[in-house]
Amino acid sequence: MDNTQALQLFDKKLILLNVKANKSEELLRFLAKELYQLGYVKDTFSDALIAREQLYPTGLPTAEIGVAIPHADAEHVIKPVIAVANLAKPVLFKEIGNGQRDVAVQMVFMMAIEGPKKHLDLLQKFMSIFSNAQVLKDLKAANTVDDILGILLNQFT
Amino acid sequence: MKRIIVACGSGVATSQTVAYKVDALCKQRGIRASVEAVDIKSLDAYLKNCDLYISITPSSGKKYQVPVISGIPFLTGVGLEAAMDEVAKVIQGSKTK
Repeated sequence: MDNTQALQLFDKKLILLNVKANKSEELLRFLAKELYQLGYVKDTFSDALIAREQLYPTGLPTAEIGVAIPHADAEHVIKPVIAVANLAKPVLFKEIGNGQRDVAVQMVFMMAIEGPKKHLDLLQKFMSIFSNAQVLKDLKAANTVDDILGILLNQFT
Repeated sequence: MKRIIVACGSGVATSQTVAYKVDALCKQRGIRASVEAVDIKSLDAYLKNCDLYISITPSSGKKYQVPVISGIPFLTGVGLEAAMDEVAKVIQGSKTK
């Protein structure tokens, strides 16, 4: 697949390192604000994101690290982007598909997507990283924005 | 043809991703079934006409008339073989519609 297409799904300003938060809601509001300030989402995104996370939690206990894939409905999105946050210390999310168990999340991939149909190929490739322990380990260990972007883009080639 | 449906709360490609994976694994194992990602809002209509429901949403405690398994192993790869064994068991054991 063409890398330039995948490149458009990310923004270096939205690959955030050493993000500190105590609670998932605090973290989600912080990330939503970043997306809003860069013009990717409407001002309704933040509340929609948090409401959805309560209804359909997105903590994903992968083989290597806990991740979360928070998102809101397409109507709150202006321009698609996937924001990446590498957390300074784990933040608890509820588990996807379960809602009871806690997942200690170390990386967050916040997806602002206009409609899955439009980006299905890209999203499927992107989501395949969650079953790739080595890639997640590399992402978690990466110290620079360029390293993270490089690892992510590699998944699309 | 046996029919498997996958639903998630998101509509942001989670169910599509899982459906794609299940479809590929079914082909690998020679399990003949159609796999389809459906909108959670129209889930009830689809449930009337399928053999297996792969769920990626928290259980509402609702009882379904078809077997239900978790779609999470198809996202994370953790417990994938066991989940596919379950799919095989259900599909090969269910009556063709």
